[in-house]
Amino acid sequence: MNNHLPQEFLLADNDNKPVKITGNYWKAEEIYLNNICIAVKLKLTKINDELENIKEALYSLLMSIVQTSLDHDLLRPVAGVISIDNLGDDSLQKDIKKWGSDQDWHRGAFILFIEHDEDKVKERIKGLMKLEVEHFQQEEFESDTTQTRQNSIPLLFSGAPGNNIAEFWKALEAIERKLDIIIRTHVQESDKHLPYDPIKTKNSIKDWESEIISMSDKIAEGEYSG
Amino acid sequence: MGDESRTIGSINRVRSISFSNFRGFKSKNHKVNTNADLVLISGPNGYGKSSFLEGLLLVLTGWHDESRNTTKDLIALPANENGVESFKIEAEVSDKTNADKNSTGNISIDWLKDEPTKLDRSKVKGLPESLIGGDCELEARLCGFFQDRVDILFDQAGKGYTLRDVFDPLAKWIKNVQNYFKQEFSQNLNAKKTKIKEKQPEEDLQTVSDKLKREWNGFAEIYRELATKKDSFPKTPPDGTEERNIAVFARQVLESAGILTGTNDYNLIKKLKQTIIKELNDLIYKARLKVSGTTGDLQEIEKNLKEIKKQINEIKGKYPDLSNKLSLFKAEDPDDPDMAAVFRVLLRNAESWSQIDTAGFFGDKSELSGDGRLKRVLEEFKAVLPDEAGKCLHAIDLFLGPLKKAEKELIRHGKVKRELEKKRSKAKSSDKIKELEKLRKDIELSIDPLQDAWQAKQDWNDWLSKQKHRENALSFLEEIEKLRKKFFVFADNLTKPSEEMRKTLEKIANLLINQFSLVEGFSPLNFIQDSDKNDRYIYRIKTKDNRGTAHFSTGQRSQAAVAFLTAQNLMISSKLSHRIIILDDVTTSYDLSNLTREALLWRHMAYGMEGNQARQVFISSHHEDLTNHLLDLLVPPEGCSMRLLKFDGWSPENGPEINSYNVTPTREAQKDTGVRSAFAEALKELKW
Repeated sequence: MNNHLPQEFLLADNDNKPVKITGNYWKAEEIYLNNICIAVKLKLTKINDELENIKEALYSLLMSIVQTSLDHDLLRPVAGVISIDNLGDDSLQKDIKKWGSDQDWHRGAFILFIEHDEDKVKERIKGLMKLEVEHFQQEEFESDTTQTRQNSIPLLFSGAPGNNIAEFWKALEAIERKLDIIIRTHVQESDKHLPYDPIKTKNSIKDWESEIISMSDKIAEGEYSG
Repeated sequence: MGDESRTIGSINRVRSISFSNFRGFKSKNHKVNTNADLVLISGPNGYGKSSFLEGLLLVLTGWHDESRNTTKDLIALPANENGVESFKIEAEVSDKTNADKNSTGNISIDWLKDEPTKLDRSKVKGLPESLIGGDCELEARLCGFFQDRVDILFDQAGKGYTLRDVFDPLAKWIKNVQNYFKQEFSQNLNAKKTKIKEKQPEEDLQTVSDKLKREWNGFAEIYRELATKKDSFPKTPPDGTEERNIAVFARQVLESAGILTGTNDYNLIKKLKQTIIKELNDLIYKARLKVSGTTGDLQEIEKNLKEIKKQINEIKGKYPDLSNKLSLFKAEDPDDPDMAAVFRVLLRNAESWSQIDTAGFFGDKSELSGDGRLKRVLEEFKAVLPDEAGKCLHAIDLFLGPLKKAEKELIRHGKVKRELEKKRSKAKSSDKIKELEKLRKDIELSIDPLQDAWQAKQDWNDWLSKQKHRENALSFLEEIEKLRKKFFVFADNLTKPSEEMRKTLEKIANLLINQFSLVEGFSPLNFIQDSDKNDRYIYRIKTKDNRGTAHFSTGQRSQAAVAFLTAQNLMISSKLSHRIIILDDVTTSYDLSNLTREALLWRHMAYGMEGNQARQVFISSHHEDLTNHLLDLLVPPEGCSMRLLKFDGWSPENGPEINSYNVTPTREAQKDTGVRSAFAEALKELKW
């Protein structure tokens, strides 16, 4: 997967260096800005403290960014993305994972995503900045079917007939040829986008079946001459 | 809105929309400016927000949810006694997001209550051609989310086309044929095989052979006696062990009677029976003729008997109740005179009796004595006139004459009849005839079971002779079975949904749903290819922990529905006739966390996408706090636009009161116009 972060949205200072800001407990390693949102890649710098202090500092950091964006008339949703794979502490990881859905805490002022590793963080930020939905053509989906159809339509029986069926090989050929015609007719009608008539299909298959039954009766009675 | 109707290639923007007498939009021309990338609709419940979006969906697709409202119910209820007869929705649309007047057109739906109630795309004037095909329901559920009918967005709850029908319309007939091959055809093929196998006769061959031998030997014993009476018949029937010998002998018998036989042995014994019985009948007839030679021709006797019986019946018919009528005039004692005799005596003797001196003859006898009583009778007879007695006699003769004649005829005919019957009986009964008749009966009794046994054996012979053919037929059907299986695989390959399509849809939907980072176990969603009871191809949505949509919470259901809707909508961009997304009351089921995340998705669609992927998004919300929050989250950047439609009131006379506001964009952030670096510098100063 291409996990290159969208450099065109990376916020840089006057010296064209990516903005990194550090404060209590948290470091904003990278900040991205576009017309959709502001995304902040966050790293916890100090883990040996009260959880509430860590949480409060995060709130303070993200709200400061929200306020600063407002001050600059850049009102957009602010999303923080945290990687927890370097935290080590399982219980801390578990607690932090709950903050994203703690609406009493964030009150919808910002969004928090918790990711397990660096790649996921990159992927998340990339998705936040740009929603890339693949373009495709109908033909891409049809290709399997068309290929199968083209390969399958030729006679379904293959190889030389065994001795036991040699006497009625022509009958089998006739039966198969008729099925082949039914299939080809349907394929052609479908390709021409003609309306599908299920009764017609059923009748043609029923006729085909009647021919098989009649043929088997003739063979069983010794009346089939080939 | 212009009067001219101009059709455009596809709709990227609904610039304005107007409603007349549609649901809560009473009276005419509620025209609303909607010319923005994103339109946020707010207002309390019941002010017409959903009707607005339903009307928008209807004019864009020709579809409305008939399970909720009949078409007639879409007409606004009148506020006064003047009934409303129609509704109309009209929208000014353009094929560009930022279009001038020259690239706009109008679409409209105008429905009169007397028109057919079924609405569809054809009812909408000016609508660009849809490449989706089928029904308009699919197009509607690919663009319209309504909180109170979320389930319809999932394939299994929808009624019409699915995405698969759009991309792979061939599959339907193949699926039908495949189903036929799987069920009905397979059953019929097996039934045929069973029938061919079951053609073996019920009784086993040994039993049938033993029975034939037994019945033949029984018959042969009787036949030997017959052969003594018919010189031309071959004399020595073979032992019944060899069927061939029986056939040879039977043919000899038939030939001796002048019957030519064909090669078919099946009816040989039947013919034998017919021939023998015929020969026996001839023998019996001749024997009878021989006997009747002493008594006259039997046929003549039968003829005369028939004639005499006829005459007797004619007399009886002409004189019904003959003997009773005659008995009225007969004396009880045959020695006594009957009524005619009495009058005849009176006629003959009346004159003589009148001259008898009864007093001198009998003296003065008491009337109590015998002589006295006779004297009295004679005196009475003396009073009788001979003419009167003659007249009575004449009358009696007239009545009784024909009856007596008929009685005599009957007596005479009866006598003749009895004689003839005696002759006939004699002609018929003789020892030789009886013997032949017994023989015929014995033959009949023995040859019927022989005939059955013979034909059973022939059935076996026939079955054995066709064994090879049956084996061929079964092999033929086995080959057909192979063909069936091959076709099944072939059809399976044809009907197998494009895995690429499923993967793409699943991927896009999960990309979208990933914006939420929902409860663990929910994401990623799996789209399972399936078909429903109506044989439609559908995607069933399952969570990572294998829960179907029925097990989703309300919020999860909404999130999955929006993701499914949006993913399909984005996938099918090239085929859509419009690029509008409608989300009614979508905020209701979201908590603040997810609402904020979802807002990002809507910003992407309205402000972040290009070309035919860009969407005009309509969102309604009735909760004021959430609406205000959403407003902050959705404020457009410079170069994009947003309108806020506030539904501020509703009255029975005029419908909703709508105020439309342009939301001022914030600064553009992608180009460095100075604001980016200023913002960056400001962030560097942050302390927390």
